Amino acid sequence: MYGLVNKAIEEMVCSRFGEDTWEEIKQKADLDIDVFISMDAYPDDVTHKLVRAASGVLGLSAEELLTAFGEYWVLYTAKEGYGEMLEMAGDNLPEFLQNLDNLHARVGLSFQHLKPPSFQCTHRHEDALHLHYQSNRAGLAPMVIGLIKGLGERFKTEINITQISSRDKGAEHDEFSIKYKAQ
Amino acid sequence: MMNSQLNTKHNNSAVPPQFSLPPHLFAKIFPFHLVFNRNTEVLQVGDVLQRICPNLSVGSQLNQHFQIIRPDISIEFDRIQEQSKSLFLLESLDNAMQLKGQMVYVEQSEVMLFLGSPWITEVATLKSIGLTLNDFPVHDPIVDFLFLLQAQNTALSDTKKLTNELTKQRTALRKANRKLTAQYAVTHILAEASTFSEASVKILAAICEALDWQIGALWNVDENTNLLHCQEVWKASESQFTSFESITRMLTFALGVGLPGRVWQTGEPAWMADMTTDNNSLRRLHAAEAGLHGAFGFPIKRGTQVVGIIEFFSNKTYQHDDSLFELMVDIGIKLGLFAQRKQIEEELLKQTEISASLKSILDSMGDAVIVADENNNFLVFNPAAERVFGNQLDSSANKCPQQCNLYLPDKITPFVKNDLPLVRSIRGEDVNNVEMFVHHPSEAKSIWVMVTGRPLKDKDGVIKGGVVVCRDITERKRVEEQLIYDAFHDGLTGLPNRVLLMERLENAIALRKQRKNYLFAVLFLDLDRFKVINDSLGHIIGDQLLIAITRRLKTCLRTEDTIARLGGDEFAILLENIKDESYATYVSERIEKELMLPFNLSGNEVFASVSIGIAMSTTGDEQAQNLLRDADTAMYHAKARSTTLRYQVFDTAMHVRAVTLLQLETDLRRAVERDEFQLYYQPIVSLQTGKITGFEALLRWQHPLRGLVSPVEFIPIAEETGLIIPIGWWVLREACRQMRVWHLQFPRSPLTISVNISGKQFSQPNLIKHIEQILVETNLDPCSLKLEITESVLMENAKSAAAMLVKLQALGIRLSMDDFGTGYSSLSYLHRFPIDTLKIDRSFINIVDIDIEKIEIIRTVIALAWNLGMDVVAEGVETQNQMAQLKALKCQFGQGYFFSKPLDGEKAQALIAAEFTII
Repeated sequence: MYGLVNKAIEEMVCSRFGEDTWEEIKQKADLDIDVFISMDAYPDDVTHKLVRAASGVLGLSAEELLTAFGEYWVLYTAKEGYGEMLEMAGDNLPEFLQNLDNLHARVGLSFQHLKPPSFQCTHRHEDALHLHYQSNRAGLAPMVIGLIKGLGERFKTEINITQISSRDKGAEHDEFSIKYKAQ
Repeated sequence: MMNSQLNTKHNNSAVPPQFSLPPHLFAKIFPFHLVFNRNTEVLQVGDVLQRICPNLSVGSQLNQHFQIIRPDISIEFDRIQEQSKSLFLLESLDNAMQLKGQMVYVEQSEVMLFLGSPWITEVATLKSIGLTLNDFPVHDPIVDFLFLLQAQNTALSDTKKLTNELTKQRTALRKANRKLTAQYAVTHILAEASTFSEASVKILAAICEALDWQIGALWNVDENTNLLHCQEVWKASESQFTSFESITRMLTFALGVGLPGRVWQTGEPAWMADMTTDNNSLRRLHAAEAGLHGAFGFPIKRGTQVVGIIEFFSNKTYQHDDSLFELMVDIGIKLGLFAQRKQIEEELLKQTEISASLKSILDSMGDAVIVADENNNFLVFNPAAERVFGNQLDSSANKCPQQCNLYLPDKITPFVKNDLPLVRSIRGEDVNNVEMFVHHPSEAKSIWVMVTGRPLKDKDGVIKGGVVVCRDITERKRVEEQLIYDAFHDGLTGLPNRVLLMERLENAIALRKQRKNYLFAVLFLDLDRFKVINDSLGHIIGDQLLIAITRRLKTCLRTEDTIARLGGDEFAILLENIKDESYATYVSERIEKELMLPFNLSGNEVFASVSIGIAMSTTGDEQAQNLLRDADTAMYHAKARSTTLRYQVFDTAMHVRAVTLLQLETDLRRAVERDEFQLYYQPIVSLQTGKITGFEALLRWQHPLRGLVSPVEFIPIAEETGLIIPIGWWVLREACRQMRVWHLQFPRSPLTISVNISGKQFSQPNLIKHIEQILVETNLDPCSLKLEITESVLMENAKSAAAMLVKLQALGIRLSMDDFGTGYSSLSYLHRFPIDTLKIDRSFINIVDIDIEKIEIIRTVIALAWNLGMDVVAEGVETQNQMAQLKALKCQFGQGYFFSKPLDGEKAQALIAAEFTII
């Protein structure tokens, strides 16, 4: 994972639970890293350790934590200078979801080691679609749910999301049914 | 409008496959393209460019909308064509958007095609132009460039943040290092400094150097003046801060005043961001002059008490720093602890020295000092204590009384353990001056100690033991006992003295009150003629006699009887529990008999006798003093009696008489004050002519109650009490006055006045002066005054009497020797005395007519007088025969009832006036 992700986790914890909690999490994760550099690639294990440690320290399940992080990630990247790029990806939720792969492709030009996930929209209707999520990383489906929620906030859209298939349960990929309604 | 046959020129050798790009597609693929002709008229505009530059209409002049930034050429077709290989940068005159791209000359159409896209370096610029990333075709690298740029910017931002963070951390680290340096320096200094003063100076320097402060000052709390005084100042520059140092050293701060005062008051650090702008700062101007601004002060605390203030000044304004604040508080506490530790060390050192001194003092002390803990175990038992109580180190206070035999002052009642001074002091009592008798069974000598004890308490007042100091008062007690013995005994004879006698007498009286049949007697003994023995044989023999008499008296008494010496030659004996008066008289007779035997004292045989007065308890007097007085009275009666029985039992009549005499004395004193005396005058008559030649003034006392009191009765008392002196002068003055009156009234009769001078009067040193004064006062011719002095008075001290008489004679006064014949006159002195007249005592006269022997004596006296040139006056002439006999013996003058009894002044005057002739 790029440092940007780890930084986002750090900022989320610090802003919501304080720096002391973050230090505790870092200590628990047993990481010898003081500062994350956004454009540096870090082993996925670093992120996994952080998530596990945060889960233990904060008393949240990994799923809850990832969901919260996904939601925060949308806000964080917009704030950290990627807002224009996000805007480029679309003015509403379905358009944005549709352009997500494109967005990742462009981002990939800058982040050469990026292993972006893939998002495919099917069953598009006026107020619903199916989102197919594929990634070479396992267990991040809860983050996707958080991301969708974060996008709902971004586009001021009510979201109702249901995971209808899961890799954890033997499916080829994760699939979500999203119902939305612009406010 | 335009077919996209752009590459036809390159493919002219073969029939190329036909490709045609529809204009709308061209405009979509190249949304920012621009086509203009040789006249620089705009022919075609890309979709997006057209949207954001709505005025860029077809047919308009290109230079109305754009200028060429690069290359540096104007909008001229040919110039542009020449530079067609260059990178062109156009700038919109409408919205300043820059387009970067390439000019392509289309020969066939003679048009210039500009293929480009907006030159954006920041995503934010897009908005200002009205573009979104979606306006760019996917192939346009500008979007990716912007992404990359954004990513790089993000990375840069990270780097900046990291740099800032590092800078911040480095600054914090630097600060922390400085604080650590200061803290280390303080710790190091405190570890090595031997005094607070030394430590404080070094700490001021160390902190100032570590934290870049220019001045450091140490203030001490002066508890006497309740002010802060500057003790030390450290400064970074010798010259720059001299003035500021001086004012700092001069100032004192009260509680709450100035920065130090505030720190003192609150007990918390305080600061001034810039003291030069603080109008309340006393050192504001000096600080400004020295370039000082920030000030910080913190307390040195011992517990909660502020004992000093440390103050720092900086050439920068003070920025508050919590960690610095904490560091200074910590240093303040450390300094306070150091001061406290040093104080404790000093106190410990002192205590150690004191302890050593105390041990030395305790070892050398004469007083026994014992200290025991609350469990009665001895902590201190100095050598003196060992001397007094023996070695008790293995013992405890509890066992002490049994081992030491400690007694109460009665010497027989052992001390109860709980009453022991040490035990009492351990119990918390202050013990003061308890006397204790220490008896060592193993040693013959016992000692007395006086014990003072105090409890030992810790600082919280909890009793931790007790201390007693025991002073050996054996010698004092011995002296006291001796003094007590001396107070009750006579030093010479060792007999009880008056005090002890009185005590025993009172005891006897008390016993008498309880037991009515209990009898006792008090014997008062007075040696006869003891004065003669003393005067003749000396006091040593006199003392020996008293001791010898004491010895003999003891042989006459029972052991239970008390014999006391009252002083001089007076003894008293208390006979207790006797059957009746006979035992007292028996004892008296036995004493008389015992003392009749001569005493051999240093070779002198001395005889002694005593007069004894006996007072019996049956007199009923309940006062010891009265009983002794009664015995004394009885003794006088015994002494006055000339019989061989030299003891007398007191009866009440004796007392009555004694009281009467006392009353008489009192009345006599009053009589002098109230002028109750008067003079009577008895004529002295010439036996030859029968004429009155003068008068003898005789004193009479007109008592207001008793009437006329005889001189025989009161003169001895006046003599005894000394009242005879003022009375005598009164008599002389009155007699002289009266005679002067008579001289004036009867100038033809040269009468003399005879006045008796008492022995005491005669021995007055101012006798001459006094008589002279009276003569001057009364204006009487000295020749008219005759002073009558008895033979015995003159002979008692004949030498000095002769000298006195000569002086009186020199005044012209005439002198008579009174009562001549009753004493022992030395003829040699009689010859030397300038006596004018001899007055023959009445004891010769009253039988002159019948006693032949007396007649011869009188004849001899008259002949002697004649031969010595003296007159003779016969006293007490009472009959005609006596007068005739005296006349026949050629006695010149007579005086007595035959001629006249003494007369008062008035009658005497009448007698003179009548020229009364006796014969």
